[in-house]
Amino acid sequence: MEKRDISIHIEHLTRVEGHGNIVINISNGNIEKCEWQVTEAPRFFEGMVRGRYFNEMHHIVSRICGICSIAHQVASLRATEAAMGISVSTQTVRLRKLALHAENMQSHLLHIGYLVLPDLLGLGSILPLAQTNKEELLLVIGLHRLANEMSDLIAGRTTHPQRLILGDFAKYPKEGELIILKERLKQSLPMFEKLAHLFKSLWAKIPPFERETEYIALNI
Amino acid sequence: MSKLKVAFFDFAGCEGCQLQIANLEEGLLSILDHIEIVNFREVMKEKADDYELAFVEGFITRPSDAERLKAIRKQAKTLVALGTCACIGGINALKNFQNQEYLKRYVYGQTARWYETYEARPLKAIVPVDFEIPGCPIDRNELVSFLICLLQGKRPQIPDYPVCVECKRQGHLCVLLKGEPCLGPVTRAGCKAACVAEGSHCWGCRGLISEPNVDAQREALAKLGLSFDSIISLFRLYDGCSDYAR
Repeated sequence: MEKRDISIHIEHLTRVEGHGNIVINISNGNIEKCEWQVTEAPRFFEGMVRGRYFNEMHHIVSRICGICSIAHQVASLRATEAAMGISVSTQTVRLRKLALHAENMQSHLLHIGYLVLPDLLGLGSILPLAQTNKEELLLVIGLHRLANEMSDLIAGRTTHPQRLILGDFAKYPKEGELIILKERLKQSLPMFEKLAHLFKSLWAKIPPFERETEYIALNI
Repeated sequence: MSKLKVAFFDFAGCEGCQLQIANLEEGLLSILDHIEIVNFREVMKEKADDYELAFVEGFITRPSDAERLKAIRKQAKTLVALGTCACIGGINALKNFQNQEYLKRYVYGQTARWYETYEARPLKAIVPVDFEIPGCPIDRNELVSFLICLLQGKRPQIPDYPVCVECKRQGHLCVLLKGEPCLGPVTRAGCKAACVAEGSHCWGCRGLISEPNVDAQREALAKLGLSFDSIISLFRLYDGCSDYAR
């Protein structure tokens, strides 16, 4: 390795969710410090839920995260149901899975479209795309909106939704609404393909970085 | 004429309120015709410090954050508390009813000493705040109306009447009459009774109106069979920093 002195201190990384710093000190080619510092203010949810009622749990822990609130709600509801021996209907399971899929779609589109795409285009954010590449920007936004509208329909809204409750859903989507949603999702497939092609065309911009990784998934 | 320079900041919170800006979808593009975002950590790499209007999300729960907030207040001509955490402390005030040192050890055990924390508090406990947009999360239409008012030189206003007004306007059957607890009668409207509309009840996330009839609310809840402790508990969910949560 080169005998260089490198000092990097990034306070609050941009275009990521949450607060973190990167600190790297290299002296004469030797790595003295290489840290990712998590500076997020702790909120103590484990303490907040102490002494609260069983039917409030999901509402409280939903507030752990605004982007993945549905995941927190489902995890919490399942935990409470397991603790109390409550079983849910197939309909509830399917609706919960749909809500999670909608959230995944929203979250992934936010990540690749709003947070990562600027890096691949050498931009600070996607905002300039409104002038230079409006069509591509509207493609990302359109799919993001579809994901949010799916959340609205199944869960009530995207962030901290209200329909997911213990053992059931507080309000069901109508059959007609689900049929329309299915059609809209089918029609969005070519748009997703277009998005995939866009990223494929920018593949060379992704830095060559590989490390041995173990991928683990839990089956719900 | 140059566009109004706007910045978005966040402290302790879930970032759900900032997400609502991305959730404006195509609407965000029209807004960008009228304002220039110069600092928005979640979305932009560029950071400028010449902002005139600052939206701040999140609550304050450690001394270092209070200092950072003071710096923002110094720079911004107008400071807006975005979301319930920033306006009134939010759900996080639930931790205020426990000893903070004990809480640190309860949650983090041996590593407790690494974490600095004190009781959750809203922005206005540290610096003067010019406007508040409550909600958990905010209603993005309310944010847009707010911006439009500000850009037109008008003074933005949020409702000071209870959620019941908007709830009844939509023709919902009163949740209290159904036998379920609901904090609508004392909670600030502006959300179009979103939670009742989706089958739930009002949890009080937008905070209390300026003259809430808390006694009547307590009576209504007691009639449903809630104990004194349960009623206080309900108020602690979002109104934990108010007098009614004690």
